[in-house]
Amino acid sequence: MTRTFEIVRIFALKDLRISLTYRLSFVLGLFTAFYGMLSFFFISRVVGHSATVGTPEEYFQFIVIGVVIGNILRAAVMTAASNARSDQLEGTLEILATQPISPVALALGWSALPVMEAILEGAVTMLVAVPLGFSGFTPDWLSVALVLVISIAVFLAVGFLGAAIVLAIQQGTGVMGMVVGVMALAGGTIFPVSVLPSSAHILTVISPLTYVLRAMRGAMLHDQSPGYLLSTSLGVVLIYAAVAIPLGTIALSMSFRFARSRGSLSRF
Amino acid sequence: MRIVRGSTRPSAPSGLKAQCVTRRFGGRTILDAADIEVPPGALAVLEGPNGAGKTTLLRIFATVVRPDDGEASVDGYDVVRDGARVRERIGAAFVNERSLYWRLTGRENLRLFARTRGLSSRDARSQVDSLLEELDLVAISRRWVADLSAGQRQRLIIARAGLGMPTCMLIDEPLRGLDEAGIETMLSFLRGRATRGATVLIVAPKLDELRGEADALYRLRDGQIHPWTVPEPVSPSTGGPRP
Repeated sequence: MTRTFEIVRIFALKDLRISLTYRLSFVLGLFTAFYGMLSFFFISRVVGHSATVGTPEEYFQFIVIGVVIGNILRAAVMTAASNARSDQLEGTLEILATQPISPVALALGWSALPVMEAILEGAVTMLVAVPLGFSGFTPDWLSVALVLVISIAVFLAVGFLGAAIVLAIQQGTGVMGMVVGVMALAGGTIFPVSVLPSSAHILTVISPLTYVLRAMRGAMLHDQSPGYLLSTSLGVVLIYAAVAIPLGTIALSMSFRFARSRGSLSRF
Repeated sequence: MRIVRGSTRPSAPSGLKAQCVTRRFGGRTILDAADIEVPPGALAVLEGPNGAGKTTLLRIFATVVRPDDGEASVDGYDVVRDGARVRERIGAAFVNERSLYWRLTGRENLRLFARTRGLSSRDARSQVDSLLEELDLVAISRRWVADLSAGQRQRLIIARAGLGMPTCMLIDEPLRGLDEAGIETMLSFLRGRATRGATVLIVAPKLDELRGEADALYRLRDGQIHPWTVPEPVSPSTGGPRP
């Protein structure tokens, strides 16, 4: 376990060093977050005051959490696959495969910095949102931390499945983009799931994001305790974790074995 | 050393061994029941034309490609069943300058891989310094890999294979792209590793300067490996071997 954390730290630092060589893109990323929040603020003014979304303030708070969690979802689910693909294309994957690193440590290393950046960006987004109306509630911070940890674990495990596909068949990052898009749409990121057509209901029910958002909104906006959340929405997320984590881990190991058998680790 | 199925027992270095290794790609047989045994501490060179399967054999020892048939082992550890243990013992260098992170410096690249090999921060720093020195890379070690010449990148790739003091080094065309001084440095480095006990397997399409350094020579033809004694070059004046 210590070795895994060490590998994750090493890869996060490596990615940080590389990303710091692209300073402009880092600044533009922060600007995009600010611009996005401002856009959602004005949208909330337009569509607020309804039975579905409540007051403009309530809807804005709803969106802020949706956007922050949606970004963490995207980072955790997509980056293992996209960084595996980058390493394939850039030619570093083969040499990484000769190192004494477990597939899980490598995949966590691929995701570490993007997830940390998404969390940081989420914190900045919330700070930017405070003067716009993201206030007037008392979060249960322990619940917030618990929801964050469990949901990131689930998202990462889903990301492992994506990386497994990429390692096995040298494609699949687009599929992961679609998965994230569907989860965000059906899970209620920027609008309540009640407005979705009944045919999309099944997607809402099976998407872990639905329960993550419910739990996070409960923890942030309604002061819901860990005990309460674990007996409701967060309990469902835990079940997802129990299934997705072993599944993702096994898939990742199998895909490495498959790629070694096919001899495709050095191909792109 | 006999390999026991499921075993992870070997301890002392016993070199590289492939028995009846066959590997096919897309219906074409690249290695056809190939055998090779490189004793510990030997520097062996495997020569063969382009596309003969030299790099495939190296990749099999490096665990990135599995043999379809036959067995291969590194220090007695089977490359398929004990892959994780094999990876702890090898240092591999393939012909692929893109296998470095181009927006990191040479030193940062080496430190990264030193840490992935499990070296502590202090050991990583000391080994990286020593490898940079051995391969005459100190002066350019703080430049981005993107700004290095092909020969400098090649030396960096070989330096990386030496991290963690591997017991077996698997090196693909080490002299490629090197100038005369670079070749001398490289040969001295590889010989030094073998002298210190590492088993070194080099594959190359031509023997060139490698010939004088090799403890054993092999040829790969039609998917099979044969021990090879190279005839001495004939002197044009006397008709006999060159002095």
